[in-house]
Amino acid sequence: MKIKILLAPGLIVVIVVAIIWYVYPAYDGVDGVRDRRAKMTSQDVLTAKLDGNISSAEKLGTELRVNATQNAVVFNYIPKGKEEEKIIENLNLQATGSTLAVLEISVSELADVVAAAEVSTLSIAPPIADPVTGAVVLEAPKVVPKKLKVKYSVVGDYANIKVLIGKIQKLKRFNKFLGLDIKTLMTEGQEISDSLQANMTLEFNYLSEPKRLTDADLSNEIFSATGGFSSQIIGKIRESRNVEVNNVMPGQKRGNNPFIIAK
Amino acid sequence: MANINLITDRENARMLGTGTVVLLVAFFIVILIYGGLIFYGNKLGTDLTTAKEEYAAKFNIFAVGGSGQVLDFQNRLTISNELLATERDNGKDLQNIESVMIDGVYLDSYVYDESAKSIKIDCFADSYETVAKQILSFKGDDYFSTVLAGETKLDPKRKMINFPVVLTIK
Repeated sequence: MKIKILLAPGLIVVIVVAIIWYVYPAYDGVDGVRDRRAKMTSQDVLTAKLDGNISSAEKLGTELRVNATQNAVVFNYIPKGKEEEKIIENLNLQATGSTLAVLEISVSELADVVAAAEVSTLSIAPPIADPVTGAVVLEAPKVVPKKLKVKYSVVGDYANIKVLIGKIQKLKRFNKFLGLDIKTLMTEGQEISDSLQANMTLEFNYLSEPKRLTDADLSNEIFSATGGFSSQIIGKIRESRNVEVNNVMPGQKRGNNPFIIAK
Repeated sequence: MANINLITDRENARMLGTGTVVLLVAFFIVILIYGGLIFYGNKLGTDLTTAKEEYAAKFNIFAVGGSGQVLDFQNRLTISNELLATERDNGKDLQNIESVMIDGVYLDSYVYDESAKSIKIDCFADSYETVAKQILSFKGDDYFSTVLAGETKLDPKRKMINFPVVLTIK
């Protein structure tokens, strides 16, 4: 009789405890059914996006191969490597072509980006949740090129320095003036010389190819773009830059005492 | 007279009461729901693992295929577009300085600073009157937003008036 009296309240307690301790956590707890369903939806969204990207990457890859000659403009504007030998060769070529004497051409990595570039060339944004599916979407990372600082000094007359500045700005490889310092020179007799010295600080850059893509790269706009690559930008580069960047011809190897000038 | 047990099982059940029976049914339903959740949760876990493996396999195809070249080219286009927007003609700065220089003044040095978008020039003039006219000429040119004249003094070596000016480009 006592058991019969205690059974009903006992059952109520057991049911309530079971719901609170077992059923509810199994549904809404960490790694519960609700959580797993959300993860599954998120995974489905990612897979669907990946399928779309694979298909569009194939089409864009074909477009790249077909327009390889035209696209070379972009790889000249921002090369894959430092190519400092080309910078030295072409700055020297432009100066001598403008009847100017070269005093200095020094190439170095721009100090403020060296540390960041060592870690990564990418600036990664925090993940955001898709408002419709709730799937976590990583924002496409912003790629930053590595920068080179070039100190370049020439001596010559004003008109030729102006011509040189114009030519440098038209070089098919991107560069910009960080500083330009032109000053008069004094002759031995303390007279003002006709020649001027121009010290230029130029910025060049380069961008290495990505070694391996990441999940965040899936969000890059190009994979969802319908019109393919923008040829407008290539046209703009062509309009802005028309001075050829020459390749450096390899010197003859000698194989003797390296401390003397071979004749 | 022998004793006869007249209490049946039905009567025993009745003795539990309707409320208790409902509670017992509810208890079994709770157990069933819990079992269902555990089963469905495990199934979802297995499906999720399979989906992740499929995704990883597909991503490998994507990551090592031609997608890298596509992305690299697009990155170059995006950066090029940004850089083209920032390009400026430094020759124009010199042309503007040429156009505002007056007779009796010459430049000793010209320093362009990209970060400050300014030009610092060191000038020499034959008189203070010319210095004043030159500063006025700089101020009259719309190419420069501000004109700051510095310390103006006689240079005994050159026997001319030396004056620096800082011009901020608009």
